[in-house]
Formats: sequence, C-alpha cells, structure tokens
Amino acid sequence: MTTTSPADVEAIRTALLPGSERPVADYVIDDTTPAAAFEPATREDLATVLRLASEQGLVVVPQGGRTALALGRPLEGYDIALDIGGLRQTVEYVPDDLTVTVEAGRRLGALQAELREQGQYLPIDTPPSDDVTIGGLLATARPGAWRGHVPAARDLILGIEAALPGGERIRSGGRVVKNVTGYDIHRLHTGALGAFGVLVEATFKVAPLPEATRTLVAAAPNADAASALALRLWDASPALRALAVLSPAAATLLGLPETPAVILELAGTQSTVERSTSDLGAVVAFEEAPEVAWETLRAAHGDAARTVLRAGVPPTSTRAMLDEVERAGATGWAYVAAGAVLATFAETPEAATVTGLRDTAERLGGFVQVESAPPSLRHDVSSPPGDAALIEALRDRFDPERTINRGRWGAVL
Amino acid sequence: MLPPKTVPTELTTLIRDLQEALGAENVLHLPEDLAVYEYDATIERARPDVVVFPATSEDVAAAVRIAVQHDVPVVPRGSGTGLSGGAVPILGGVLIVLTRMNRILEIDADNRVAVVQPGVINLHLQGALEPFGLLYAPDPSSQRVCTIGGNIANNSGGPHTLAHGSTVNHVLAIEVVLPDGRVVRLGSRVPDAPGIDLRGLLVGSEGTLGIVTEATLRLVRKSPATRTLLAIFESVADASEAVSTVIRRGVIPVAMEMLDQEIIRIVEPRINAGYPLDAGAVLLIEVEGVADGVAADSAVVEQACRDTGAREVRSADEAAERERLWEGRKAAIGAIGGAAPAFYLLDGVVPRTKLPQVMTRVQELCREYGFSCANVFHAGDGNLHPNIMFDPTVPGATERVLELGGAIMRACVDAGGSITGEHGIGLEKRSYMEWVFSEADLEAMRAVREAFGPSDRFNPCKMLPGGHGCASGHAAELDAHLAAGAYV
Amino acid sequence: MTTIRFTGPDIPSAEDLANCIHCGFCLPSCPTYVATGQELESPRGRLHLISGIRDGRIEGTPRALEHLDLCLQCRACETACPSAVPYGRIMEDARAAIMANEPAEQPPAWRLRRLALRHVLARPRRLRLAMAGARLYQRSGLQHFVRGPLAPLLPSALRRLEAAAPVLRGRPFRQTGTLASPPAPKARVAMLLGCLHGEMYPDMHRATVTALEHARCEVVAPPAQVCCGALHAHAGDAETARALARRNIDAFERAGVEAVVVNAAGCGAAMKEYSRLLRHDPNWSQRAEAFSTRVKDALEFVAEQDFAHDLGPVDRTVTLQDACHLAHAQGIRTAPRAILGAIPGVTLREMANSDRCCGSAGLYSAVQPQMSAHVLEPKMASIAATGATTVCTANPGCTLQLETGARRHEVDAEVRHVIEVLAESIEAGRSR
Ligand SMILES: Cc1cc2nc3c(=O)[nH]c(=O)nc-3n(C[C@H](O)[C@H](O)[C@H](O)COP(=O)(O)OP(=O)(O)OC[C@H]3O[C@@H](n4cnc5c(N)ncnc54)[C@H](O)[C@@H]3O)c2cc1C
Ligand code: SF4
Ligand code: SF4
Repeated sequence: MTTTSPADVEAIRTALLPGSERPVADYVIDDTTPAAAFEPATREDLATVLRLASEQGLVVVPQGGRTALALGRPLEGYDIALDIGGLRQTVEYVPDDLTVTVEAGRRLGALQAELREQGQYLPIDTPPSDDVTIGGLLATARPGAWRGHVPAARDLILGIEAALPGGERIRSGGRVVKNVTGYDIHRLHTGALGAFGVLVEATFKVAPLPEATRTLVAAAPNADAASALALRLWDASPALRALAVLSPAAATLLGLPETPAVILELAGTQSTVERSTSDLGAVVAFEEAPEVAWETLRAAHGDAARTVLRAGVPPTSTRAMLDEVERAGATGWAYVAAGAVLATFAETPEAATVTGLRDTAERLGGFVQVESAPPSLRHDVSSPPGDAALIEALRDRFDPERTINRGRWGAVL
Repeated sequence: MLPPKTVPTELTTLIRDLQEALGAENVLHLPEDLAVYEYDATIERARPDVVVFPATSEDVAAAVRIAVQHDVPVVPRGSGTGLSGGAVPILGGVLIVLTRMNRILEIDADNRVAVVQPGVINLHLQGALEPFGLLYAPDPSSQRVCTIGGNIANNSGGPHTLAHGSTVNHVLAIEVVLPDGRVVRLGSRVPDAPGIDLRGLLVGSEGTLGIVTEATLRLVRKSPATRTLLAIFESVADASEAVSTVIRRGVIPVAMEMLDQEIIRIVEPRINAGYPLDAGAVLLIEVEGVADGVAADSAVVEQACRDTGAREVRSADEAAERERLWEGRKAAIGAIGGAAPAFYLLDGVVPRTKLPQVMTRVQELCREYGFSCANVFHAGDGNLHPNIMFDPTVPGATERVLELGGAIMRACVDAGGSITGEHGIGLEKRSYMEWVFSEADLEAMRAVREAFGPSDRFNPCKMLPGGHGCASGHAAELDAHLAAGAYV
Repeated sequence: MTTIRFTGPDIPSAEDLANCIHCGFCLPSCPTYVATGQELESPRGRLHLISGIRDGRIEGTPRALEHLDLCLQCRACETACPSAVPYGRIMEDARAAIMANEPAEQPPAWRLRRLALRHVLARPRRLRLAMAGARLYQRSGLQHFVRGPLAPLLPSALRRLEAAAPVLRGRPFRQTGTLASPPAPKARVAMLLGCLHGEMYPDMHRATVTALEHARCEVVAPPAQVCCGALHAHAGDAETARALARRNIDAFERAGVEAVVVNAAGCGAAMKEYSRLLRHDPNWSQRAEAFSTRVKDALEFVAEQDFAHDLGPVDRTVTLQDACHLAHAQGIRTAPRAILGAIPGVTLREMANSDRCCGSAGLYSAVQPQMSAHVLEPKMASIAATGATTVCTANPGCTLQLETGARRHEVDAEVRHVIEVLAESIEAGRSR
C-alpha cells in the first residue's frame, strides 16, 4: 500500500482545470477510499493526472460506470480515482461508413440511443447493462449473450487513443473498417484492465439495427434434452443473435417454470425472422418470450454484489459444465455458441468450490473467469494474465511505475 | 561438396549447427539455392544466408536459438505471396520456411474449430471443411497458395471480410516461437478467456514478434442460401455511390467488390466471367442467409444499384454460375501481369463514403503522371487496389510510378484512411508510417516490439520506420533491384 | 566447378519472363513443388533461376541446372498462371540455350541424353531393333525370371527401369499408306505413327484407325513421316527437333490431308508448336504455321465428328487421367469426357487432381526415377480411391507410367487410351 501525502494530490489538483475534483466517498472500492478523485474534462487533463501520479509513485484507478470493479485481483494501492465520465462526447459518427468514434467515458446507452436514430447500433451487450462506459467495456471485454453470434468488442474496435502514465497520448488503428497499419495495440488494450494505459477514445464498426427481433423459449424435459436441442438449433439458423440453455433455477429468474429450457433470439430482416421462426418451429414447439429476459440475464451476470463465475468450454461441453455449476449450488445458464457458462452464487462460495469448477472447465478444454467476488476470494482465485514474462516486459514499457490499477493482474503487475 | 571458400567461417558454423539440429536435407545454403528465396510477390529482393525447413515447433525453436547464438536475423516465410516485402530477408540471416508444416491437425466440426500447422494452404483447409458444411471465413484472393501462417502474420482479408472480418477475428489461439526461442501458446480454444490478449497483438505483426507454429481457428457454418449479383455501371463514381447506398439502406452484403473498365478489359477476354466490356465499372455483390432473407436483401441491393445508375443487375444462385462470376475477380490481379510489361499494386483504405472522391482523385493523379491504372478492389470495405501499369524499361518510369504510388497513399490518408488495408507494411510502406502515426505512436509500437525481443532479431527493417542497418526509403531498395524483372 | 551461360538462337526472351509477377499461384499445381515443398522445385523458382542465369545474376551451376532438369515440363503451371506466362516454351528455350553451348561445356548427363535421343528415337531402324530385343526378352520367359528370383540382385535403377517396361502387346503397328477408306468419306486425314508408339502400343493405333473410320474419315499414314521431335525439344536438342519437324511437315504436306491426327498428346502438343520451333527459319516458318493449324489430337478431332452413332455397350468403370500435354499444353479437357460419356455402359469416376502429372513426362521417369516415383505415388492413391478398374489416358507415356504404377502399388486397374475404349464400343456396336 502506498501512503499518499496531501502535497502529492495538491500538485495534481492545481494542474487540472477547476471543477475537476469529486468527493472521494463516491469512489470507494473494496472498502478503500482514495486520497482524491478527479473527473478530468479534457484528455490533456486526464494525461496530466496520469503523468503526475506516475512521477510520484501514486496508484490511479480509472473508472467509468463502476460496474466491474470486483473483477481481477484486489488492488495493491488506491490513491487517485480517475473518473473518465468527463470525456463523453461522440467525436465522429458517419452512419454511411458504419463507424463511430466516441470518447471512453460515454455510456453505452447514450451511444446506442444516438445510433438508433440512424437505424444502427453497436452489437455489444456487456453486463450488467447499458450503463457501462465505452472505456469500461473495452478494458473488461466481458461477453454477453450475443457473443458467438455477433463479433466481440475486440473485433468491432477499429482504433483507439490511450493516455499513458508517461503523459503521452498514443493512437493505434484508425477510423476505417479494414486496416493493418502497425501493431494492433488497441487489441492489446481490450480486456487488459488498463494495464497499458487509459483508453480515452475508441472507434467502432457499428451494424444496422435488425429490422425485427423475436425471443423464443422452449421448455425441455431434462438437461440432456435442452442441451441437445440447443446444439441442433445452433446449426439450424444463421439468424440467431442469442442462444442459451437455462438450468431450472435460471428459468425461474426469468419467471419461467422450473425446468430446463432453451431461450433464443432471432434478429434480421422481417422475412428472415419469419422464415427462421418457422424453420426452428419445425424442430421444436416454441413460445414467444419477452425481450426483457435478456436484460435479466445480463443483469444477473453483472451483479457485482454476488460471486459470479464465467466458465468457457467448447459448446458441446456446456452441458457437463452446467451440471457442475448446479452441483456447486449456483444458478447456471449457458450461452451455447460461445461456450460461456455463467454461475451466480447466492452465498459466497469456498475457494475450493471455485478451483473445483476451474479444474472441471480446464479438463473440458476451457477456463473459469471470476467476474465478481469479494476481495479475499478474488485474491485467491483470480486468473493470471497469461505469459508472465511477455506481459511483464510490456507493462515495464507502458507503465513501469505500475501507476494504473496496481496489483489487478497479480503481484508484479 | 565443400562449401565455396568465400563463405566466412561463422556462416559455416551457423550452417553446420542448423544441419545438426534439423537434418542436412532441411537446410539450404548454396548461392544458387538461396537465389530462389530472395523474393516474395513484390519487387523487393534480398538473399538469406541460409534457408531451413522445420517440421515441428521444436525445429523452429531450435533454429531460432541457433540464430540467436550466432546473432543473425530470423525471417519467417510461408508461400511468399506477400505484397509488402514481408518475407524478404533484407538483412540476410536465417529464413525459416514453414511450407513443410502443412498438416491439418484437427477439425472439431461440432464446436466449429480447426487446428492447423502454419504451412497449410488456405484453400486446402477450405477443401477439408467442405464436407462438414463449414468454412474458414478469411478468403484472400491468393487463397489457393498463401498459407495460414502468412495470413495470420498479415491479418489478411478477402472479399468476404466485409461481413466476416479479417483474419484476426477468426484466430482463437496460436502457438508461437518467440525471439528468445521459447514456445508459448496465446489465446484459447474457447473465446473470451481471461487474461491479456497477446493473440490479438501477434496477429498482423508481420513475423516481427513471433513465428506462428500452430493455429486454432474459428469456423463458420455455410449459409443455407447465397446469391451473387453483378451490377453494371457507367462509371466508377456511380458504382462507388451504390456501395454507400446499399449500406445506408441497412443491408450488409457479405462481399462488395468493384472492377473498373480497365481491369474488365484485361480480365474478361481471358476468363470469360461475363463482365460486359463496355461497362464503366461492375460491382460483384454477394448476399447470404436464409432463403427469404436473401431474396429480401437482394431486392434492396438491386434497387440501391438501380437508383445510383446501374444499367443492369444480374443475379446468380447456382454455385457454378456464382463461381464463374467470381473467377474473373480472383484472376484479375494476375491477369494484369499478362497485359502490361509491369504494374505496381497498391493497397490503400478509405472510409467507404469517401470512395467516389478518392477514386476520382486516383484517376486524376494517374492522368497527371501519365500512367494507366486498373482498379479491382474490396469496395465494401473502402479498400482500394489501384494497379499502375508501366514499362520499366522506359528511363525514369519506375521512379515516377513510385512517386505516384506515394501520392495515392497520401490521398488515402488525407481522406481519413490509411496506407494498407490488408497487405501489410513490410518493407514497402515503412516510410509512409509517419503519415499515419505520430512519433509517440511509433515509439509505443517500438516498445511493443522490444518487449518481445531485440528489434533486429525477427524480421528486421519491417513495419516500423528506422532500425539498425535498414535502408530508409522504398525507392532506394527498389533501385538496387531494378534488374529483377518483376514489378508487382 | 563449371558454370554455364545461355547461348544460341533460343535464349528465353525477356518479354516472356517479364510476364511472371511472382504471385506464386502456380506453386500448388506443380508436382515437384508439392513433392518437395521447396521453391527450388517450383515454376516460380525455375523462372527466377532462368531469368537470373539469363541476366547473369545467378550462376548456372550444375546444381542450378539440376533444378531445371527436375521440371517435368508438364505445364500444369501454365494452366494455373493468371498472368499467361508461357512456361513451357521458356523452359524449352532455356534447355536449348544450355545445349547450344560447346559439347564440353554441356552438363554431361544432358549430353548423354541428347546422344541417346538422336541416335535411337530419331532412327526408326535402330529403334525397331531395340524393341525386337525387348519383345524377345518378354516372350522368352526371361522376364519372369528377372522379376522373380533375380530381382534382388539387380541394381535398383535397373530394376526400376525393368519394372517400368511396358507389356508389349501383339505385333507392332508399322503400316503406312492408306489405313482406312470408308465409302463417301467426310474427310481425309493423316495419322502420326510416332517413334516408339507403334512399337509399344500398337493397339492404340488400331483403335484410332477404327474410330476415324467409324467417323467416316479416310485415313492415311505418309511413309516418310518421322518421330515428332518432342522429346528432343524437351531435352534442349532444338536442332534435331527442327530437323525432324521439317521432315514431318514435308511428309504430311504431300499427303494432302485436312487434318494431321495425333493420338499421343505429347506429340500433338509438339507438332502444334512447330510454327514456333521454326519461327527463325525464313524458308519454313510459313509452312510450319500452316502445318501446325492442321494438327489435331485424336480425341479433339473425333469429338468434333459424328462418332456417337451405333455404339455398343462397354462394361467399364473408368477414371480419366488428363494427360498434361492434352489438358495443359493443348487445353483439351472436354473431348475425352465427351467421348467417354457417349459410350454406353461406361461409368466415369473422376479422380482427385486428374490433371496432375503422373511423373512419366517423356524421358523423365528414366532420367529422374526418384522424383518420378514420388510424383506417381499420390497419383496411384487418387486412382485407387475412385475404385475404377480402367484408367483412361491420352498418351502412351502416361500409359506406360500408370501401368508401372499399378504394378508397383498393386492397384487392380487396366490402363487404356480413351480411343481404345471407344474402339471397343464401336466393335461391340458392329457385332450387334
Ligand atoms: C495475386 C495476389 C492476390 C492477393 N490477394 C490478397 C487479398 O485478397 N487479401 C490479402 O490480405 N492479401 C492478398 N495477397 C497478399 C498475400 O497473399 C497475403 O498477405 C498472404 O497472407 C501471404 O501469405 P504467404 O503464406 O504467402 O506469406 P509470405 O508472403 O511468405 O509471408 C508474409 C508475411 O508473413 C510472415 N510469415 C509467414 N509465415 C509466418 C509464420 N508462420 N509466422 C509468423 N510470420 C509468418 C512473413 O515473414 C511475412 O512478413 C495477395 C497476393 C497476391 C500475389
Ligand atoms: S512444368 Fe510441371 S514440373 Fe515443371 S514447373 Fe511447371 S508444373 Fe512444375
Ligand atoms: S508463373 Fe505465373 S503463376 Fe507462377 S509466379 Fe509467375 S505469374 Fe505467378
């Protein structure tokens, strides 16, 4: 833990435009209150916070929607809260290019509203809701129900601007939909929890809003049947935007009878949705379900107050994983195409439960990610960042002082 | 046979070490053998000191470790179809050719995953997937020969990138050999694994960060219905307008490719794809999905084309008919080789809405410089491929063509675009990097490179400007190789 | 170590070479590249070597020439090339430009080959004598002995050659003059008899006469005709090839025919190129031009005639090997299929890569036995995979190679020229 002296913070405070400071009580993370909180109004100011903090060895924690702070290991220091919400403009939106450039603090919901006016949207449904900021959704790269059917955030991102702890602002990629100019540093940032800088701007490829969507649900007599049905449906229509197998417990979350079920969403032109509805109807009898079901699942996935795990296994193994999740006492459901199996726990589980599930997932060829959990559990069971030598070498070059989110990825990072 | 006396002793020991590690039959070192490894599909030429053909990841790692011991550069190479000089060993050293590592290791059809070695040819993989009704979406026009390793290194695109995205969107995990000889796995077979996405950084790194020795790829299911449309326009400007109009009306075809009159007149007589010789430009558009959706989407596309001046829109549903329409597109670039003494193929990218304006500018510039230019490109992505035709035996022509190439690239950048959409920076475009990126941006990229190893180890002088012993401009390199005979 | 330069009238032209844009599209079609995975044994690599040797950037060392020599001259690369690089003639020119050097400078193996070709193939009497010896050998039972108990004692190269020897069926075909004269003929055509062809595969000639007669053609064989010179040209002996070409043009001109029908794809391809071979010769270039336009492959010619009437059933499941010099050099792919398709009872099962060379390639199987065997192996596998019991060809060289392959790889299939299967059907029709 660092100890912050008032002088350190004062240097930052005076360097910023007036009115940038925020009450620290609004920025508590894992019971730690920072020494100061700033919401810079400009990119220059944001970079200044990073530079000054870095020079003084302070730890800065960037945050946007504050929806995914229980992700990763507990911080090893928290001096400055850096609220990116001040940077929330849409920089450029060219509907005919299907591209939009936005500042990182813009809320996904605000962006979607703007895109919707032009009949477009960003096909990202990161949990828990559209309250996430663009920067936050990129830094965490959490997949939602659409994953496996539409591209992931990391595939929709065309370019970024990031502020580095040294105070520089760098760009990578660009604003065109196809581009192989230089290293894709923007992909490195995606899911990196800020390890290599703070995102201040991002350009995305957007998509036309589907003309029609429809959510269908079918109850299944047992888990085997549900799973087999889902795999069959996955092959049966190219118009799926989401496809999930629900355990009985998850079904009740949606107000459905307590049996295994398959829920899916079709999206596309009216005729595509009609045709797919009848194609799928030939496989099994469906009932129409309200769209809000997806928001419910999304919120449950992003419920930071609970322990939530996300396993990833090959689609054909989601059935086995879901079994294990239920056996561990969690409410589980699976987004089949992406092989994502979610588990939310009413009570904080033992570390051994989590590692047990992880062993199962790894045996099935996958992994377990802790999406949210109390600090002590996260400390014990969070995932490592990957090849330690490479990541340390990269972090040494981009954030040698470990200014941003110190400890999130483990001790040396 | 004794090695010629001119070979310095260090080189002799390098060769001997490599022979011991990989077997003598997998090492080439005679000058006349090295001569055929001095090129890719560009005009750049430079000979390696030694060429090796590994069979396994361990072979690759061993070769890298030996190169490190001898302090010589390492350059990976696939089929050598690159269009930016990426596989040309500009500072010599060990060229690691991956064509022997050409096995498809696994096709897991149920989970839509394939595991392949890097030397697998793109089209061979497609062929193997065919019986499963699956495909690997990236389809560069060179797919009948280019390797998956090369595709990954260049983050290659193709006509269907418009809907499916470039190679990076289809690579789940890779095994790579790093500049220190370590073998690591990046990414995961199941998407969205926790941790930092080094896979995404490696894809498109042009062999400068690691050598791909295995790849786990995401497959997609073939659509139940596909229709290919050929829209015939009086001018490139009209066709460009049509591209934006289609998108504006909410339909994203899986492909939208443009051929201008110049290229139609070159390719049609050879291939008989059915493009009218008097058309100003044609758009080749493909829509996919469920049958009813395809019909609805094609109606929108057709109307959009007519509204922007298409004089005719033909459509094909049968595989053979569609294949014929595509054949002309696929053979187009090659066909120019038979039509002009030489041509210079450019790869620029602009926002789709700037296409009409930039295409006009390209034509103006070509007129200004006095060259004719044939265009065949991924219009839906705004990815231009002007082919400037010229006669290299005319004094000064080559220099002027390069200048013109620079001016066209500049026009792309000025329109908010960039200097390569799919062919990579390689040797060819290093000097243009400064038009797109600031010094700080480039510093960050250098930092990335150095985190992986010394910058002169893997594929030196590629992608980033500067570097020890690297010539500065493209023209300088070119002059030295004018005699080489090919001018793609 | 000596290095060689190109010289003489046939140096590959800069324009031909400049067509190559190094795109590499030809690589996967090249059998030697597929076998080795090395650029050295690829069309692009060979073109690069040729262009380098031509311009003095690459030394013509024995090793470099070996890469050129390993080329099958199958011209699959030409079909694959989007840029219309005339690979076949570039390679032929390069070989001629090498052999135009003083004998002492020529690669010794190439020189020997040239001698053999000059003194055997180009001389019918010597050739017939050699073939008579072979026939005796097979009939005497000695062959049985050599293939059985003696086999392990023979040096491997000899054994391979021996194993490749054709089964000499029946009496050689040496007839000349009028071979068929149906009533009210629709056309008068001449047939090339070739050097080895009539000795090794006389039935192919008989079948060709049958088919032409069936199509109501008068068929003649000018007695003055000689070997077509294809093998000489491939081996760089342009001089001998030209001498043979002149004699053939002369002989066939006298016959006064509408078409010169050739049932060996390699010979037909070469004769269609006499015009180019003699382009520098002011006395002959025009005659050669006129001659070449009259040359037709037998299948090409028959497919254009009215041949499908009165055919009888032939019970065969066949697969078709597209002869390189038919498919790649002459661009003929539909004619053999059209003919097979017209024969009642014949089922065609296409093999994978039917237009990939079998490794015969004229003298290649004898000169480069290792690579030839390497190339043959996948070919036999694709044949076996079809389950066909007859392999159809359009060239005697391929027939020989595939017969060898069938023996070596124990594939239970007969090898027949397409025209032989057609003749069978004609016979069956007649006897109905
Ligand atoms: C006629 C023609 C059409 C083309 N069309 C397209 C197109 O539509 N879209 C497109 O994107 N490209 C296209 N290309 C360019 C080229 O085919 C692609 O870039 C292709 O991916 C290169 O593959 P390769 O195997 O030939 O690689 P090479 O040319 O051998 O190498 C390319 C680069 O990859 C590196 N590399 C190769 N293998 C590995 C490995 N295993 N690990 C790490 N690095 C490696 C090399 O060092 C080099 O930098 C075309 C080229 C031609 C000639
Ligand atoms: S002729 Fe045949 S063997 Fe020779 S380079 Fe071409 S494809 Fe290869
Ligand atoms: S011969 Fe043709 S296909 Fe082969 S590299 Fe040259 S241009 Fe390409």
